[in-house]
Amino acid sequence: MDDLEIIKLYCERNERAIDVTDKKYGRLLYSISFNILSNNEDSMECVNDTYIRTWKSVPPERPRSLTAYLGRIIRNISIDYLRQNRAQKRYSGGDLLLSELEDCIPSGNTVWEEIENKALSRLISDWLNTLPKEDRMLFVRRYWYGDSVKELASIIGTTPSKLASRMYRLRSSIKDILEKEELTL
Amino acid sequence: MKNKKMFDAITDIDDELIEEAKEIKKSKLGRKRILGLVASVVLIIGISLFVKTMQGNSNIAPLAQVIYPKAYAFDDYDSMGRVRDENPVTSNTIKAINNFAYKTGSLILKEGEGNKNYSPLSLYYALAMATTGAQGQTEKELLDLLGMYNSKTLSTESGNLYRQLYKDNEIGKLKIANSLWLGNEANGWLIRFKDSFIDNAAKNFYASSYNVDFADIETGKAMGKWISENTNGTLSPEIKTDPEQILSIINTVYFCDQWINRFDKDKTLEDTFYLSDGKEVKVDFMNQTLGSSGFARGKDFTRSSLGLKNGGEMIFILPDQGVSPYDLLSSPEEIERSFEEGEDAYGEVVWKIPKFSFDSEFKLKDHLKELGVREAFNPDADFTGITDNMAYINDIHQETYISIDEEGVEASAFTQIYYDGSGQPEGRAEMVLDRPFIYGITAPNGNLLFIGICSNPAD
Repeated sequence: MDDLEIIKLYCERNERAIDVTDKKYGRLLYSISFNILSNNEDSMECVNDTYIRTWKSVPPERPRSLTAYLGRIIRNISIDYLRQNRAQKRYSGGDLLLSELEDCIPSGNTVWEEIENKALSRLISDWLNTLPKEDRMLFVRRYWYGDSVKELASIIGTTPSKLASRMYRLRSSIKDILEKEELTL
Repeated sequence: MKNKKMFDAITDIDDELIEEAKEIKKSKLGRKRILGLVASVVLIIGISLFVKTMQGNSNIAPLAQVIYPKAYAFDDYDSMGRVRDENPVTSNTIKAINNFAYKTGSLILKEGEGNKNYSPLSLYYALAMATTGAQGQTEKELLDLLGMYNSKTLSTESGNLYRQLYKDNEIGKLKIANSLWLGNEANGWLIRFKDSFIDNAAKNFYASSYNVDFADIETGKAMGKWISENTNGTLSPEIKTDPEQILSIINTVYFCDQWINRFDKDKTLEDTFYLSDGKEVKVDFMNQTLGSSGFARGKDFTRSSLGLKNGGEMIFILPDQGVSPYDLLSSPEEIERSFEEGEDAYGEVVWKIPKFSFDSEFKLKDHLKELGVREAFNPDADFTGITDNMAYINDIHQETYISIDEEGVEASAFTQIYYDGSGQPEGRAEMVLDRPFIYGITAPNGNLLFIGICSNPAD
């Protein structure tokens, strides 16, 4: 079923909407959550919470891309879950992601906190659009979909260590952009 | 948290970037589904012609579509008994298949490092189907390896075994699927495949047949789709066809089942797994203690098994400290000893099993040559039971996937049966699988469906 039809089901308050969403996006959502939480049960719970939240928000909202819409919800739910349950959980994929993302943050006494989230997203999107397609996709797969470096390396036919260096260069590149941007703020 | 801000900003990047990146993933996404025990395998045998093929349009509609045996519920013992009675498989056949498993397994598994999951049954079925089209020395060598006297018995026994093993119910599945991909033209010549071969493949191997053009990339895609459909999406290989190919035999085995005694998820705890190179990894271990179970102690190992709801079991062989699992697989005799011998005992078994899932890939041609199957790979092989054109096997390739976790069904009638008539435990075994170990998955009749080594569950 295409996304427009699925969204129509939500708008009509037809409960089949959740079934078809699960059929089409369940695996993807589960993997995004699992890549953050590294735990089966918690990830399943986040997938279910994503459906509930979507049911509540569509309508009035009408997503342009259902992948992006559902994916954002489950990223938010999963990262919150990770923080709330921090004490008893082991080191997870999400912790690793967050620690890698520290490389992107401008160093020194900066005005980082003052950059608005929306503006920051815009900067990152613009920067991604300047990259070669493969670099752009790799960055999004690693930091949006949460795929592991090992998994991505096998997909593009390289070694994890080579890919890790490439990812590091990408993180440094966005850091440079952000540092320059801060100067103009 | 500065990095959380970065995380949130990435969350809100443009939709188009997210959509674009969706396409990078091919086959591996979404495998982390929760299932008790899942194992799947695809095996491809390519048979080539000794001439170049021409381009042509493929017609991927099935020539012969099979109807699978009727499924029955996991606890429908009447149907299970009836199917077994109507489709007798001799103990010689069961033994022949397990001997084949030991012979091939010791060669295939002992090479190299890392996790490996091999399906002897899958290879057996695919080779058996090829054997039914072989003649002369080619046939003899294949029959010798398969432990059978003639192709007719091989076909009948394979058909009966297929119907006995076939499972598709609410608890688990054991689905063996076979297909024949027939190239209909080569270098302007029409390739004629013999109806007797195609009919026998459909009748005894439940093989669907497809008429294709191996020079067309769509054929590879269709083959990949067929594999994915028959392994519940656990395997989606990219198949590159060879224009010189005239026939591909694809066999898949998809198996999933649940533990009779499920593991309590709350008891799953992270702990250390000790790798053979002295390194350590942290993984989740499932834990349970069974009060009255069988186990065996052999020279260099302890073996015990966990029952599955559809009547099969998963056997675990834990090498003694300081013994490598490769030592226990070093020859067909050693591997048989590990799976079948040892001093049987009975008592409490403490289980601690790492959760794991991994893929394996094997090129099997050289191993089979080593085991005496030589003619089938020569350009002058005799496959005149398949086609009068000169044809030989050019490649045999197996890909597998396995995953285990806690899932199972809580205390049920099955569990009670398991304990019925049990005396007081006399012995005790600790199946603490915190170092590389061997496993096997058997069908209810004892045939080995999968054999593997788990060297690093975190890999």
